[in-house]
Amino acid sequence: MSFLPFAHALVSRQDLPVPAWLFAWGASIVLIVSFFALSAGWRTPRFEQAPTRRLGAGLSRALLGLPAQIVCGAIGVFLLGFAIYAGLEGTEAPDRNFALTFLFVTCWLGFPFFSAIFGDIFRPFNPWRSVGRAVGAGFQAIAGQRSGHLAYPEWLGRWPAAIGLLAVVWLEVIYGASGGVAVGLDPHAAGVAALVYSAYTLAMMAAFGVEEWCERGEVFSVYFGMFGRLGIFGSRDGRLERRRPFAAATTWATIPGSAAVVIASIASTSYDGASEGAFKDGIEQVFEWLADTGMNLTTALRLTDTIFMLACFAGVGLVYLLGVRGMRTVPGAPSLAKLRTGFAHTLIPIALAYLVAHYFSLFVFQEQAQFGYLLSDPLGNGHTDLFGTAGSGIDFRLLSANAIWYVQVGALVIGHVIGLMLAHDRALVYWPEYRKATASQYWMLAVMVAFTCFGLYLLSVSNG
Amino acid sequence: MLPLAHVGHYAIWVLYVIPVLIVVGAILRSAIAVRREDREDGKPG
Repeated sequence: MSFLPFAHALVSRQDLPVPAWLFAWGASIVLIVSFFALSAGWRTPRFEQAPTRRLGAGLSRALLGLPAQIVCGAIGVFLLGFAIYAGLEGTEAPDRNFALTFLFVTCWLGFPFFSAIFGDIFRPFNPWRSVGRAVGAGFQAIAGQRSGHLAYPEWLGRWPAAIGLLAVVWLEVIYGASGGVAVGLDPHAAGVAALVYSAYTLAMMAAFGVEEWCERGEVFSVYFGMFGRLGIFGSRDGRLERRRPFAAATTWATIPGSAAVVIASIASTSYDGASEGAFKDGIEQVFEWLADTGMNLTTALRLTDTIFMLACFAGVGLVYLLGVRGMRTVPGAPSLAKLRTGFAHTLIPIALAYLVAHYFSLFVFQEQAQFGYLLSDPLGNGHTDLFGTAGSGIDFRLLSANAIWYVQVGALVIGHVIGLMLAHDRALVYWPEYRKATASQYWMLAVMVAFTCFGLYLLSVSNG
Repeated sequence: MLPLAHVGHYAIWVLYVIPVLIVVGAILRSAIAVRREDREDGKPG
């Protein structure tokens, strides 16, 4: 079996029974059938204010109480500190340094994947939130009063998180681009970036308050928390609760800029997938134009990649806005602004589907490294073997090319069907007459089919 | 100029656009039909 190196995936040659494009046709048919099944059998909202079941007080105390908060927070702070230390002091070989795989694979992909199932599991381990809360508690103990904060500008909403999300991906896939390894960023640069981000985040928490900043501006809280809204566990008033899957997503996009966050997520994943495939020729062409102007080659390459990433953001945003604009034509539609924010949460499962489709093989392969040689020799300098696994490797035979493809297709189809369900449910709130609600969702069907076919096209070109 | 050997590679995206065009076409056709019906219903007599 031959393997081709890609920026963020290792894939072997596929041997599919039918051409890849036929899967896009099949996926579109599944979406259309799902759409009509929803129209026929789903005539009242089921996700809005869906019932929740409160879990036992003892379990809630054990998992949400102060001792658990301190332990989880300490683990988060220790792991962040250790990753920064490994980045600054460890080997410069990206694939041998604990920091990169831990930050950009285990955390960056692991938290979305598991939060989408179990709820927001990043929140208790958030190192910056833990430090911010500890400092706040210390201040209160010494000064005898809570620290004052500036009022967060309402119009700013989640835009800092959306921009930060693009910046994190930019750092990883554009600034750190180097083909052939899973994450090509220089570990030292990753360590410095983590330090700078920590200083920035703590300053923002001091200015606007810990919870306020985590809810709106802190990239990782907003990003992982967004996927956590799909999960089945949450908490309210200090009690754990079990909720209907995906139902909590309906209350996520109430803050300005939320749509930008989820669009940034889809766009950055799309860009990463397309940069080595569908966009390759275009990137080379623009790079040559810029290089011909006398620009430094590294700068020209980064500028080209940045232009394509922003174009992805604009393109994904435009498709969504066209869908929303289409809904506006249905009689009884609310304002465009309300539709824009009201349907943003329907893109969350699509963002997750794109993440799974593009990165799940990377996650499976790199986690073998994470819990194998990187755990035993985190600095990658060959001097330590903490758990006796420093000599282990990655078994790339764990997933066949066909298995990867079927997971990718399955993830995209399921993600878009869930997106359709959420959109249909929200439409029933805005148009209580279900015929109008269904008519409004023709446009979201078009959006979902477009994202599905686009996603499969990107994957087929990258895999081909 | 594109090398002929790679024409398939460059043109394959058309096959992925067709389902989107079919859905968008069906939506537009349906929207036009609804508007025509509304107009006709609005006529006196």
